Amino acid sequence: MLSYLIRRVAALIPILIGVTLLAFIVSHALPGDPARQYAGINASDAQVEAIRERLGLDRSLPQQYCIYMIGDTCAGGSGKGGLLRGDLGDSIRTGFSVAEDVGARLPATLELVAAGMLFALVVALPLGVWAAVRKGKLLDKFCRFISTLGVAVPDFWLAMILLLVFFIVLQWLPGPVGRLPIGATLPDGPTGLYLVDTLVAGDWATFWSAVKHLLLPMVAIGFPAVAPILRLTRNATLSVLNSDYIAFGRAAGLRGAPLYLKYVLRNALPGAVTMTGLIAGYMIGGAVLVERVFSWPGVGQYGYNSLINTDYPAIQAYVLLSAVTYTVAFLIVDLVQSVIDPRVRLK
Amino acid sequence: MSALLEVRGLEVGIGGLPILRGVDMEVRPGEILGVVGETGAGKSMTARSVLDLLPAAATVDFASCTFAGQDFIPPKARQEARGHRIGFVPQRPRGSLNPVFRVGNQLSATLRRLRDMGRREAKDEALGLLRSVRITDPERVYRSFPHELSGGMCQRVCIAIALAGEPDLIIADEPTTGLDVTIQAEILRLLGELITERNAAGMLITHDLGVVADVCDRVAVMYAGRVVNLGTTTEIYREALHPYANRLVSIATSLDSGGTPREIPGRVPNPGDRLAACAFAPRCFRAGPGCFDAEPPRIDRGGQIAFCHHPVNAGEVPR
Amino acid sequence: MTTRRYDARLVIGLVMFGFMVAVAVFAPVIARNDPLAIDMGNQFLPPSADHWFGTARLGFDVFSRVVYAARHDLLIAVSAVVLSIAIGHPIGLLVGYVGGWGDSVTMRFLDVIQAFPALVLAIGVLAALGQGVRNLILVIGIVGVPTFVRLVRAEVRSLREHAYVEAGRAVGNSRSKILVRYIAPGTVGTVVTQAAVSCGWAILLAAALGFIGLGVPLPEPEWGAMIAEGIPEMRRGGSWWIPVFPGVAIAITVFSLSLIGESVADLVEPTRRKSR
Ligand SMILES: Nc1ncnc2c1ncn2[C@@H]1O[C@H](COP(=O)(O)OP(=O)(O)OP(=O)(O)O)[C@@H](O)[C@H]1O
Ligand code: SF4
Ligand SMILES: [Mg+2]
Repeated sequence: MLSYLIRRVAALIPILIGVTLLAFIVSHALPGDPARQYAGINASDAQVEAIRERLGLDRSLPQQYCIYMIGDTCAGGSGKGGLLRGDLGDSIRTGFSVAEDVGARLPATLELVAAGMLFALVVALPLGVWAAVRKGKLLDKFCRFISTLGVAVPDFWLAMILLLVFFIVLQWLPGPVGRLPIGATLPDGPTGLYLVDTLVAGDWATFWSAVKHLLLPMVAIGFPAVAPILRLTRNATLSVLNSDYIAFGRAAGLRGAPLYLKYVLRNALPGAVTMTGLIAGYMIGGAVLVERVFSWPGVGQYGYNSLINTDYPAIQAYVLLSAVTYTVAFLIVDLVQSVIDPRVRLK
Repeated sequence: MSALLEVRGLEVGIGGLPILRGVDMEVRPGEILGVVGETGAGKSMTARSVLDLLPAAATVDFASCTFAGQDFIPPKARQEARGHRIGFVPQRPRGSLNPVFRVGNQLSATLRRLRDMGRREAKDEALGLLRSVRITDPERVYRSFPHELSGGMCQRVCIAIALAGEPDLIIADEPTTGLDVTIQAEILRLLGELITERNAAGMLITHDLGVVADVCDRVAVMYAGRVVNLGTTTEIYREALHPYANRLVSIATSLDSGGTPREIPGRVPNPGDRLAACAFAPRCFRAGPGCFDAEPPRIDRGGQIAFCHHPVNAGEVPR
Repeated sequence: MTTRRYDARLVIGLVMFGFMVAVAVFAPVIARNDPLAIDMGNQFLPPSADHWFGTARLGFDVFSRVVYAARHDLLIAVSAVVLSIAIGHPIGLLVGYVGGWGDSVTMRFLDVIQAFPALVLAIGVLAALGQGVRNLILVIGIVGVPTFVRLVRAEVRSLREHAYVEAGRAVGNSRSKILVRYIAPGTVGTVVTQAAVSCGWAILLAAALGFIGLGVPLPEPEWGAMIAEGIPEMRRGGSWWIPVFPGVAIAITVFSLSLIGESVADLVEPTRRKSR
């Protein structure tokens, strides 16, 4: 198990290095002059040049990449900064450290993505098993229709429809104002996940409000994931139901709920887990859109705002974060996989 | 002697096709009944009917069915017998064990389910069972996943699981087909011994007539969804009444003695194309008056049962 | 009875997709107004006989804009997929057949590219290249390349071992001839299937980019951008028709492509039919 873990992590290193390189190239290929932007419209050419030098933009690209990665040791400095020391540079737009900026917005996105994933799993897993058990029946056909339709509906459009129905028409749920009503005191807990923090503090009113604000974005970001997980679970369940070990389990007296929970669901799970990893990556991308519709103060919005302001350290950080999260999600999936399916470890 | 399992007039249909058309057979206490017949004869379907494990699309109908005196027609009775009263040994042992659990876990879970044992007790009993199926290092096997074990080892584990509920009857459906030839005989002998040791009875489905001669007390020969001949092993091997059984046995024995076997001409009919009268008629060397238009009568000659218009007479060996 | 159902899906998918293509091609005939015509006196009108899908800001006719937008969205998606195939198919054939370090390097490179969520990568590259229809096609096309490389590569590696390829080799064909004559044709089926599915993804991606303002420059009509424009109007004045109809158009198009992709996949790979 440990050696498997080490092998998997080692295989990630070249990919992560490639990812930083690509993130660097993309953000430096952006049009516009960050130094001028940083200096402001009224700055003199000399001032702009001074800023350019301070930001290190006057150096060659390889040198800039080196500084970006391992700090000013590259430029003969004293060993400060650099990605490997956890320094993502300072945002040109906000002036704060990018790491801090991102750190402040990360919980919002995490809460959104986690809720979306939970929603997708809670809907798709039981439905997938059920559809397989009732293969060919109406429910199965309905599920297939839903899965085909589900991938065809853009998440940002679904977000809008949800707003239209539940906020504008029915007025059951709050509008797109972010995680809590405008002007509300923000809970300040250790995790930054409002649901967790308010729960720990026993602040039920805020908890409830946070839940209501989360519901629509959760469905919007989670719905597109329902289709693939449902489909996969159904097919996995079908092959499990037709397997010899189910037949033998039955012959040995296994029946009812234990049969479905312990055997069917348990054996169909590995497939669903793989899909979940893929989906996690997709959701991080989708967060940009859903966060925009709901004014959700997460990293997706931050990335977007950085982009239109040519704030390249922030863009770099955002692009990097997405890729790293995606990659790590895959790693976690592989590890979970190896725990729940012993055959994986052999490969 | 009253039978342990008695099946009368078992009919199974799938999608309108008659798969089994009135199967009669019984397993007596302490005996091992061999069930033979060409592929598609309905051997597996018969076994699965007894455990109510037929495909969802199948329809089942018994004239009567009893197990140790209990009425076995209600599906519930047959379901409840699974594991407890009837143990089942599968055809593909490796695929029959759940790949995601250790085999020890599967065995003790079965013990806890069937015998209401606690964790500790179940583990001890599981190790004992593994030892009783002649596994020399039960501790290692207990901790293994199915994919880490050989096919023969997996089959021993499956047998242990089949024995876990201390059943009165063990049904084995071609338990050695997927295994290495070298261990087939060993597994079968083991199965026979275990059944005898435990005073249980057995139903052994197989294509291997040599095995039947070694292990079984009585033999049921199936053809096209029916038991066409049923008798003691000696009777069936020496003087099978039914031409099909007779030919089957003679082929097997001439193989054993190195002679040239004569095939039975023609092919097994599919469930839809069987003749209503004697399904074997198109291939039968004795087919004569009545064979194509009337149901063959039941013949009981000293306890050997056959369904045939022109049974093979003792001494008259058509080789 | 099973085969007929797949045909039904294929027929429905083709009819729906054909309908959308027809809408795009005959947009000038179908649309009742100029999609760019400004009519300040008729802003934010709900759907009516005159304006089937209502009107938007500046009195734009939503129906006409949805119809004309089909041109942009379909053109972008189809061109992007053609580009993905044009790049991805040969690369997949080559690395799959030749193998070796070229294969390993290519696969590691794809790993890196696919570590980025497609939308994030597209946003980044598009921001660097600048807006415009040509760049949209380029970006969406590039993002779609890895899928085809992987697919074709896997197919080639399994075909390589097939008996008829062995036979071709035994007859003394050169390596390149075997690749072109024996292996490449065998990969067409999966590529066509994936093309339909990828085309759906491309439409969704184009719409997403349009939604965040990186798509076809305004005021040209594009489905994603129309939804983005419509949301604030919907919140302000309840004019739901502005964002709803473009989304329906997207859903119909992508849905039809999924149907086509699914049924063609079943036709191309008969073994898959059994498992359903
Ligand atoms: N799931 C099913 N659906 C339809 N027909 C089936 C199904 N399973 C089996 N059959 C049919 O039932 C008949 C009897 O099958 P069964 O498996 O009992 O034969 P068998 O004697 O066990 O043969 P074998 O020696 O091959 O195991 C065969 O003709 C087969 O075609
Ligand atoms: S009934 Fe006739 S055809 Fe059938 S087995 Fe007997 S002799 Fe042969
Ligand atoms: Mg069988």
